[in-house]
This record gives sequence, C-alpha cells and structure tokens, in this order.
Amino acid sequence: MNRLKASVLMRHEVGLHARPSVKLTKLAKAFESKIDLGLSPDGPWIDAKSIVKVMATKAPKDSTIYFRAEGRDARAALDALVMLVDGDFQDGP
Amino acid sequence: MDHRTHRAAHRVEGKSAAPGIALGPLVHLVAARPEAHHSRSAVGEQQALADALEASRLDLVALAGKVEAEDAEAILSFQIALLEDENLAAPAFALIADGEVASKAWLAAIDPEIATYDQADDLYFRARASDLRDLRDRVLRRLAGEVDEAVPSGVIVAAVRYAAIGISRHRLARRRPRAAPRQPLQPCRHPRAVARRADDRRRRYRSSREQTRCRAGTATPVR
Repeated sequence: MNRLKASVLMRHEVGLHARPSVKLTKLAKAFESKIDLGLSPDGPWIDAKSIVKVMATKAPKDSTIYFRAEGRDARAALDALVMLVDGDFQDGP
Repeated sequence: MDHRTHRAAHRVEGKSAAPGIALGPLVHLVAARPEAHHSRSAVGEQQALADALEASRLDLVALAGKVEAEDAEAILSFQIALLEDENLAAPAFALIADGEVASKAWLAAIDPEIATYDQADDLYFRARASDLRDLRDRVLRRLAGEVDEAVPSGVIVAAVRYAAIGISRHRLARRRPRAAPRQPLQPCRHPRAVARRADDRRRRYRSSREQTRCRAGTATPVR
C-alpha cells in the first residue's frame, strides 16, 4: 500500500499546544490509516494519534508540520489534517 | 482563643488567590500519596491501574460536562486525551510486569513526563506540568480507593498548590488545620551578596582561629 505525504505551515500563535494537539489527535484517530507526524521531511516520525507524542514535539509557531499516512483512507486523512492545521485549528490560542 | 467556638486560634500563612476578606470554615487540601503495600499479583496490579485510569477518565468526563469556562473545558479535554493515550501508562504497565506495585509504577511513568514539561523553555508548555500533576494525583487517589469529594461552597481553601479546576486533585482533610511550615529562604545570588557572604565566612574562620589561639594563651579573645 502506498505511503502518502503532506506538509503544512502551522501559524497557530502558541504552537502545537494542548488544544490544537487534542484536535489534531482526535481527527487523526477518526481515520483507520497509520498516520505519522514530523517536524522535518525526513522525520523523526511520531504517532499522530498519540497526544503524549504530539505534545512532546513542542512545535512552536511557524513550524512546518509533515504528515505521512498509510492505509485505505490515507488521502482523506492527510487532506483533513492539513485543512485543520491550515485553518489554525478553527480557533485562537 | 475564638470566643464562639472556644478553640485555640490557628494562624495559616500563605498567598491568597484573590484579594479581599473572607470568613468561613478552613478546608485543607492534601495532595495524594502513593500506596506502598504490595498485596496483589502483577495481573492484579495491572488491573488496578487500568481501573484507576478508567475511573479517573470517567471522573474527568463528568467534570467536563459541568464546566462552562472554555479554558477549563480545554484543559479537561487535554487531560482526558492523555488518559485515553496508551503511551502515557505503557511504561507503568511494563514496570508492573517486572514486579513493581501499581502506584509506584504509575509515578515512575508519569513523573518523567512532568519533568519534561517543567523543563520546557516555553511558558505555556511549562504550565502543562500542573495538568499532568493533577492527572498523576487523580489516578493515585483512585488506586488508593479514594473518591473525589467536591469542595463545599462557602469555605476557605488552603492548599500547597491551587489551580482553578485543580481543586479535586487534592483529598479533603477534615482534621484541624495546622500552620504550614515556612520554606527556607534561598541565599541571594547577587554578586555583592555572594562576596559579602564570602567575607563573612572568612571573618568567622579568622575569628575561630583567634579564639583557638586565645584558648592557647596567644591572642585576645574576639568579642
């Protein structure tokens, strides 16, 4: 099965903090594909469905978030995650 | 002496959370402590931890249903998500399999997580450490078989730490309050203060040498 990749600039004021991380991991868990997240195109990669791992990245504002997904709904998952981050997680900090 | 209750007056020193004067019963909140006894098998300990995690999660879900403030709801959602993440407690389950009791295994798993937030450069991430401490204590209380009690209205709350929604992480102490011990003052690190302390140490050393010599009859005692 193909592994798909996507990236998006995160402009959220205080970075990948608790509220965005909750939204991101919840959305990732809605898909059955294996989804990884990284702060560089070559990784290291962490499980995008784990809030413990996602928060541990401590990604600040203006970080580029890289996703890679593998599974039946990988394309839909990447589209949804990119839209979430690009839309500033739908709220302020 | 309190003329109404005929009890000795108690003085509790601390930092107030809000300005003004308040009158009411004092309630001390006591942080949860790990259970030390080991009376279950490894499977029993793992089940106890799993039950405590789930009970804590349900407590938080119930709490989240009651709060109206958006920030409080966000913090509770964060804590619920942490408890739903198997990665949080995975090291604890591994330690239990190696013979550790559930409470100590839980502490060994979550304390390093708390430390990573405490050491964060970003103020916001550092603040999340208290959310994890709340979670740690909540699960410890459940492991000890305690049930959260709501703080009654109209009381004055005294606690080592206080957060707007962190009240329930503490066990309510119904005993009479005792004055909190004073924290020892840390020495000032200003260069002048450091130099002054060094001078004082030299003076004391010189003084003790002179007193020693005095006892031997070779110098005048230092007054």
